[in-house]
Amino acid sequence: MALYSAIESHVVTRRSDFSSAPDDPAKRGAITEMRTLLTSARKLQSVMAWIDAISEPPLDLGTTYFVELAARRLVGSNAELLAISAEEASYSTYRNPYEKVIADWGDPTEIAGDTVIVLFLPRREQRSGLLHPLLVHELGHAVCQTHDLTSRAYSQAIKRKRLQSRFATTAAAHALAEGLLPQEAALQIVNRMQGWLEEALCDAIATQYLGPTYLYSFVAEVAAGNVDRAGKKHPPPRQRIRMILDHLGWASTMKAAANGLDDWVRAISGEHPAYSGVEAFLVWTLDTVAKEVRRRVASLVQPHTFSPDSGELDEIKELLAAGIPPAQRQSGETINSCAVILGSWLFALEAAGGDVSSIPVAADSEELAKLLPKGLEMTALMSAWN
Amino acid sequence: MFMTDQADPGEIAASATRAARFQDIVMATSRTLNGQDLVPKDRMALQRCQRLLSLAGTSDFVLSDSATTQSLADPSATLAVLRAAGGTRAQADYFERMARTVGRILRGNRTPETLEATKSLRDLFIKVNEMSLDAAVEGELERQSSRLPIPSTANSIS
Repeated sequence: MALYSAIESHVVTRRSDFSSAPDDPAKRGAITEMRTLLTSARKLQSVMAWIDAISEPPLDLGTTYFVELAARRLVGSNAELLAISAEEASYSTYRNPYEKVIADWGDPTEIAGDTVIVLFLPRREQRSGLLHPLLVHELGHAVCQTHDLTSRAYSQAIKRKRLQSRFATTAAAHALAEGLLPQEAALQIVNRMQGWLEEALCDAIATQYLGPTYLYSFVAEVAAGNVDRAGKKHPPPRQRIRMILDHLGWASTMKAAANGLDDWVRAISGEHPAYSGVEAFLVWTLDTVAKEVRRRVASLVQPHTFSPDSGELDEIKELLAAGIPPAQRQSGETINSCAVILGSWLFALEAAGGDVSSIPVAADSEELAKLLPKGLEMTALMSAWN
Repeated sequence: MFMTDQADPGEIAASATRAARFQDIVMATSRTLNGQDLVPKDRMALQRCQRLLSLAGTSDFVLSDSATTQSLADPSATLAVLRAAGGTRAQADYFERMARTVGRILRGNRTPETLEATKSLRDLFIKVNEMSLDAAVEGELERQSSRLPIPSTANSIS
């Protein structure tokens, strides 16, 4: 509603501007701008088709509780989540997408204090509970914006003398190669650098919150593709896997359950292919600031860091093997919801052989599609009850 | 976003606000050319325009701070459309001269040279505005064609 009010208010202003326009070029310009606005409004309308999906929530109750808790812990108590299943091939998110328009043309006080997070999950993966931890990475974008993480990490990074010098060389070569204005080339690289930094921050947030679960879900999403392909705003998956592994450090539980997969992941992350041009600069930058990214995230997520407990994971495996949703330990204690997901991954990987090919098999496990959401639902209810 | 760079409603909305800001510059320069006084909104538009042109006119490869990149909606896209609209003249020094013209307008200078340069400035932003519309329409057509029904024989691997 605030968006529609803002657009309406802008159109009213423009109508009055039009009548006071001093000459024909100004009037023609006003008509051109209105045509652009009309095209943008049509596009906005089409990308808002997902609003229809609100009436049919795609996530099971257990995962919904899990993601809502993560949002409250990491983003803030005012975070309003909207999960949508879409045709897109990958998980994605928007946070307050119309904030700028409302600030420019409307009444910003109408949305002050709100944090609306729209999470998209691929429709084909709607029942793959072991992949839904990727939603924590998506929440990471809202965390970065709410807590100013990206701009702070960026401001810190650009103080490095060596980075400044490599940047100038890279930007000059980029401008020459693409025929760009100097500052246009510089800003293109800056935009990508901020995008890559944010992805690294989101990976670190998800790793800190979920532990090895995030690595498994991430590998399941990228293993079939080219791990060296960098996106405009995304570092190559190989580098991201390496950064997640460096972050985990203590993941000895992984080796026990999935020795072959562990070897594969370490081999993948150990290779350093040569990148060129802007991507070489960005890969180097991210490697250079990786520790700083982890430190920044650790200080924010610290109270919610997940440290796996092998006893708890063994109990989860036993419960799953007996077809019981994992929710309560033998001691009567409620199982940590992050442990429920990790235990489910380890159980499924072990059952599927534990090598890299076990990843898609585990992610598609029919049995876990029932037990995992139930386990998450029960742990949420028990935690609330206690 | 997790893996892909998909169309973002925030970016669509940003392109609409960019077009509005370009038109504000056209209005302000038209008022100047017609001997009218600048209203506060014109001054704001011209100050923003001056910052943008100064950025385009920078010949060094500056590693902008967060405040600069946040103050302009997608600044590299704005510079790209400015460069395209400037055609063969679109070098850093051309934009630097334009930024100086804006400074003179803001100071109330109305000499024939300034007015001549103001007309060029307005022409540039009229072109920028038209190119923004073309880009928006082109994007819309691409989007529509990509949503055409997939032939029943087509396979998808992703």
